[in-house]
Amino acid sequence: MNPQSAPVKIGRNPQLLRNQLFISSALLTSALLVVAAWVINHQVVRQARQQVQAEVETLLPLYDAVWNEHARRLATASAAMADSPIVKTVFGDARAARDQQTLREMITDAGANAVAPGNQNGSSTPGDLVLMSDGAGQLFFAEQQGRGASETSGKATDFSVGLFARPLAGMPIDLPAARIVGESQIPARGFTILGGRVFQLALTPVVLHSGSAEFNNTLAIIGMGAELSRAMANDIKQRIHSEVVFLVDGRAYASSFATDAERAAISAISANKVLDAPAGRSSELNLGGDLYLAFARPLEDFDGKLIGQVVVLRSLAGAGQLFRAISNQLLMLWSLAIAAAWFLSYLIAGRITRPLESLAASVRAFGQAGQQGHSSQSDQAGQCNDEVMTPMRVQSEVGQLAQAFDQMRQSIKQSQAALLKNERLATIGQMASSIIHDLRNPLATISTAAEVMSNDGITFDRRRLMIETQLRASHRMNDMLTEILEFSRGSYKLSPAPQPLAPIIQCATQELGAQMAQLGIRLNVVVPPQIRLEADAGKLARVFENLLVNALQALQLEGKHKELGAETAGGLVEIRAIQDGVSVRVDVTDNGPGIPAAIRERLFEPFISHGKQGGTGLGLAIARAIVEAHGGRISLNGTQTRGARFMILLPGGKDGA
Amino acid sequence: MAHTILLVDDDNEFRTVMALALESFGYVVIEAADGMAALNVLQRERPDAILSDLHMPLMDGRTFCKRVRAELDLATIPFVILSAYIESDGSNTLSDTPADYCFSKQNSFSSLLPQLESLIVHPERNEVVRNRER
Repeated sequence: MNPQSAPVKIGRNPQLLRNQLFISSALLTSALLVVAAWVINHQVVRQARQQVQAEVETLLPLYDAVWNEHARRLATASAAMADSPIVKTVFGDARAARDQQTLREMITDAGANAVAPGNQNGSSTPGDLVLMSDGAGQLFFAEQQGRGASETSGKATDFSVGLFARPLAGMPIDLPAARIVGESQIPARGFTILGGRVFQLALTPVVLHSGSAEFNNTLAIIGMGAELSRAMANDIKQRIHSEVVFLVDGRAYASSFATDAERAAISAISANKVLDAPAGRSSELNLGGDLYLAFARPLEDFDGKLIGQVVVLRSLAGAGQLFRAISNQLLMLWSLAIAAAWFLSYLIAGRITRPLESLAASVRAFGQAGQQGHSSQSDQAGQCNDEVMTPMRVQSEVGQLAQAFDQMRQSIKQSQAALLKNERLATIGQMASSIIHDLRNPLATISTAAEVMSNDGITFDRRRLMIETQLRASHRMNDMLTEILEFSRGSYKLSPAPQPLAPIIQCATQELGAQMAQLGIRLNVVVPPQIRLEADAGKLARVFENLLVNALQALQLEGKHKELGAETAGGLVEIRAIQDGVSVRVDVTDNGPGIPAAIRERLFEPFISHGKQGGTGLGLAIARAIVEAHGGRISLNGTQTRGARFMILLPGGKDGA
Repeated sequence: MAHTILLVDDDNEFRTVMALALESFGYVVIEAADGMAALNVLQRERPDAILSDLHMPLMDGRTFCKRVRAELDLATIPFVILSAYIESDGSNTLSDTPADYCFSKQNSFSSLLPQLESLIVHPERNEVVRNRER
């Protein structure tokens, strides 16, 4: 198992989680904001459009007021002239009344008196047409004048065109409206066409009062008119901030537009059926990209007959700017909101995942500490655990989870420590029990011998044999104690030196070899003298001694099993060493009863013993410890039921060949 | 006539010393290193008593005792278990063993001897002892 792989994976997961949380919540909030912004924008623009529409509808009375003012001014001017004594005097003289020059002078004199203060154009009359007719409606004077300089490049004289100076085809001599005014002696206003031109006209009778209320003599009718010209259209445009188009018989008569725009406006007006729209309703027009709201008003003559129409067009450019401003502001707010949403999403994602990260780090550190704890001891592991304790925010759910985890970790640590302690106590107990009982046998031997020997009636031979046995028992006790001491020290400090293997094995077999020979056990040692290795001779000899002791005991046991005192003849112990590549291999074999399958697995663990003949059960454990200290390996080879074969592999010396 | 005792123990030294001690008190001792070897001996010998260790290779004392008790002609032989695993105060006397007597190796030889003697001389008391121990 690779301990590196798992922690890396744990560490990356919170990052992924953070990104997922961040992106998903950011996208969600953005989508919500976009939808909200669209709805708001739509609503606001619609509201603004409705407002403009309502505003356009208020233009209608304003427009009417402007027309009324125009008409009133014309009426006032004509009335002033009609009331003038000069005018009455001139009209009283039949000859003077037909002399154009006298009439012009009269208009100048009377007009100067009649001009109302505040006449915005500063001209002598508010209109540009002066008409005079007799009581029967027969025109005897008609003259059009300039209206001032404002829209005519300052050339007032260019505008002064006498009607008769340029006779117009179809110019009526008879003006029915004037006849009606002359008969009723009541002033009247209306639109009229004279000589193909459209005028707003105010007619006022010049009345010679007879003294009787019932009968007054109408001397003449004075008419003041203003042509529906571009100048008038511009004047109205200034007043109501809207474009104006005068239409007669569906064709443009005059307008406030430039020529090209006028043509486009006419076609748009006819295309959108503005003229057919019900009164008071406006239509939306698109003139070369600019939006207009348009409505039409009729132009009626004195009889109430329709002679033309006025179309008022209110530009939506201002409203468009308002829409754009609103949209821009919304866009900016919307961008800000999205940025804020992303920022908050990032913060929230971080707040969620940070405790997870520290939790993961804590788990990771705990896992690593656990691994260290296995290789070394629990004290070190405990230290590591305490180091990774991370302060967590307890309020959050994740914090609580972390706390729960920490408690769990603590309890695991405690039970781990308790387990180790119990295990150690059990091992100590097992060891102590084993050692004590093993030591009791030689001790009982010694004490029993001593007790019996204190008896006088014991033969010399028996006494001698007892003393010898006693001595052997005490030696054995000493050996056992030494073994325990060595094993309990744990580590074997080696003093290795390069040397041949053969003398080491010879040393090990010296004492036991003699014993075996006595018992008729054959010892066969095959160790090539050229095999060399780096070893601690004394310690390594101990390994072979222990193995030989085991073999000897196994063979003795079998011998006794056959029958007590029977021959152990036929017993064979073999030590065979070979150079195996760079390592040295030594096989120790016997033809004894073999190792029971039940203990083969744990054979090299302490206190595992098969022979149990006064041993501590440490022999093979010690052998293994020494071999491993040399960097070698010891194992029980083969699974044969008869005999045992131990294989020892040791690293060879540099001059091994 | 001297009584014969079968002494079963895997510990060479102890067995030697015990055999010598018993012989000093006039017993004839047959030695065996474990239960299996002892059963072999019993095929041709009939000792007056069996003194056996508990922990031995091949066949331990407990199994050996049960085997002896199972044989009709051997079942009445007084059987004493002698072990280092039995405490000297008798606190862990093996109740599951059909032995007549359990003796600790820590106890003195002189305390074992009278028990052994009485088991051999009064075999009818064996039952009494056995019943009492139950």
